Amino acid sequence: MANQVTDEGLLASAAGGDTTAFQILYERYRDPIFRFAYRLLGSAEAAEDVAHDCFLSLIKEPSRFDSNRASLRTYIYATARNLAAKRYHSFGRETAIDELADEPAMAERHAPVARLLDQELASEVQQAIASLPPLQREALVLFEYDELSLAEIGEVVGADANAVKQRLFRAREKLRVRLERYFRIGREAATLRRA
Amino acid sequence: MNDFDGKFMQDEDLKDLLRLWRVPETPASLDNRVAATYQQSTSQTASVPALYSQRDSEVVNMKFCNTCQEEFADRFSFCPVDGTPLSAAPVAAIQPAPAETVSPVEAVTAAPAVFAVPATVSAAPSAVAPGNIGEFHLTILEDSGLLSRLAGELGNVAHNYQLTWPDFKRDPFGFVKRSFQGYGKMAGKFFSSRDVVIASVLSIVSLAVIVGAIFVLDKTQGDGGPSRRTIAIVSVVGFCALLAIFASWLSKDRGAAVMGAKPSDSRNVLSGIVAAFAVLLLLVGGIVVLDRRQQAAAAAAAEDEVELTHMISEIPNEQPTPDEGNAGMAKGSGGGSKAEKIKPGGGGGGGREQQQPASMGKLPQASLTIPQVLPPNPNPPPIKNPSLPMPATLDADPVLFPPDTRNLAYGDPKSKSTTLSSGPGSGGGIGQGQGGGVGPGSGGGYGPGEGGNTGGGPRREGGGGPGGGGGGTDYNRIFRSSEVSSRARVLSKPEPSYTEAARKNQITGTVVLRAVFSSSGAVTNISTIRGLSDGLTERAIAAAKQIKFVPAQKDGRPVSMWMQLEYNFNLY
Repeated sequence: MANQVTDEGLLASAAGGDTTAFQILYERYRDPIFRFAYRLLGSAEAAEDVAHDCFLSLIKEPSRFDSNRASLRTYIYATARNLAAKRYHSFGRETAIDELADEPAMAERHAPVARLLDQELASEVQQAIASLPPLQREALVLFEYDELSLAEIGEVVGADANAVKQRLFRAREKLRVRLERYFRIGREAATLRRA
Repeated sequence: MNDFDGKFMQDEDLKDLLRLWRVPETPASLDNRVAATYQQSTSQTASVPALYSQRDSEVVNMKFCNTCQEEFADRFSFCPVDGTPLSAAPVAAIQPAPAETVSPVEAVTAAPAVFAVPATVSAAPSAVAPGNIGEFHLTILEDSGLLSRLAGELGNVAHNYQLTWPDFKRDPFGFVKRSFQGYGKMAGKFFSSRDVVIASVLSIVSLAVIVGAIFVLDKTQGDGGPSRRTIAIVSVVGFCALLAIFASWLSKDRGAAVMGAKPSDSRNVLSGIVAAFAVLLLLVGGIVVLDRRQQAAAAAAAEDEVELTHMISEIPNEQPTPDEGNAGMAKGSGGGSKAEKIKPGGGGGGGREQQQPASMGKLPQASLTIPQVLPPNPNPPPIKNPSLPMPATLDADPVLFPPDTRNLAYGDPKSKSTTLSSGPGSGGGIGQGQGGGVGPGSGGGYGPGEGGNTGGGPRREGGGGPGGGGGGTDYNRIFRSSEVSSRARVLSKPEPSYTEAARKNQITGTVVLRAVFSSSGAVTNISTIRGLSDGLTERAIAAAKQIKFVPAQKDGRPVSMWMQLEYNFNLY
């Protein structure tokens, strides 16, 4: 079964020219890496570039991965994180005004009221997370959305688990202050969604 | 994990909120890009066996030192390390590894189409096991860099001249004579070698063919000279031909002897020859390009003998006023002879119930004051001895229909038919409508609509003065990205710096600005959409003003364009 083959085994086969192995590896990490990059950068275009460059590094230099140091999962996330940081350091972007309307909208699957509520809340949440310092933001994204453990996040960002926990704590405190008035609405929205 | 940690991990309220932020679907373009990169990468890997096979012949010609247990090239007779006589190294036949390797995931799924590569490519890296090439041990005899070696050589030359200086001082003419004789003998000996003669003649002939081909093309294509594509094609073909000649030559292991080296140096010789030809080709190409530029400059100087009076240091913002166009004929909101701006309306049509569609032709003179007496007719009946010739007219605003001086029969300007016909309409005009006008409407005007005049709908006399309808484009206005033919392209974008106050107060976030990338190359009309405190917004605005860019273009003219700028301010 595909799931029984480890990421490391797949990478070794892919490095030996096995197309199928690379494809399985790509499909495992395609969406998570794109989402991770999108949540760090806030732009689908930039996230696509980061995801592409991340897989490019896997294709070109698979030998850079050292299985004794970390798992392939954390290695890929760390690569994506570094690429995103590199893009982030390029200080913003410029966009034509009328292209802003092309930004992806929310999935339209809820009832109208819940959807409006969700849209407002999602926008607030997005802005709140975007306002976090980068180190806190990446820790929060990796923990809350990508469900990495503290140790794994530590490997990705190059810090120990306690430092990660501290960043997470501070990030949550800031979010809690900023989103305080939305907690009740968030609960209602969750109830509406469940209904 | 203690209680605090447990509570920390289970912050359900916050988690509920965070879950609301969804990301868009992963774009399909990512799949295509990654697949293209993967295929490109695997096709490069496929060339590895070819390189290895070329090295096989070198492995055979090695000598072995029994003292230091190292192998050296065949041209060495004694070990360069310890001076021991070298013996021939035992030749180990290279056994290629089995071409098929069992993949751990081969049985799981078949390779998808996007990642599909030729079967030989996927098996390529395992075709020759790198471990079997171990017979070749590289021994670096000299590890100094190119520059240090060049300096050493120059030092030797200087030393030689220092030694020969007293001799030259004593008898300059004799010294020069002896030098010429010595170097002449050396050159004669070198060029008397059969292989050197063959190689030299081959090189000269090949280059002469390439240069000749370029100049023949230059002559045949007139003053403009050969196109860049022609030069590139000739260069590439010549280069490939030379490469093929020397590759086949060296495959016989003869090319190495041409340069006086041993066969084991064949790769270096090949690289040297290829590099030399590449440099020569570049030189020839450069000369041709320079020649063309000089010709172009000379032609421009000959054509343009305008005296330079002064330089304009800044590009003026003012754009040329566009052609006003035919008033009222475009989609503008005004047009016609009235003073106030009114959209014209009305139309006309006609026909003489003929089977053929209305033929193409010009419109008759339009007039609002003279009533239409004679409708237009593509095929007017001949009138013998007319006492009062009466021209056909159109009941429409003359401002909208300037006189047409072409020698054409009357007809519908939009028709494609060339057979003279008034069309299937009725009433005496031209087209498929009714009345004495032209077009599908009814009345004495032109186009769809009714009652005369033009513009569609009921008759209405328009106005707005000349140009009220606006046939041209106002290039001075600010365009959107979908309206321009090429968008503004940023050349340099300085980074804003932090202010001390903002650093002290730990201010982070994004400043979003809205600005116009103007046609003159300046960033203007900057407004803040989202700002930050402690002077960061001002810093972002200052940075935005320093952006260098190529203005957007529309119809070949630089135009202004709205842009949104984001500046991220982060503290780590």
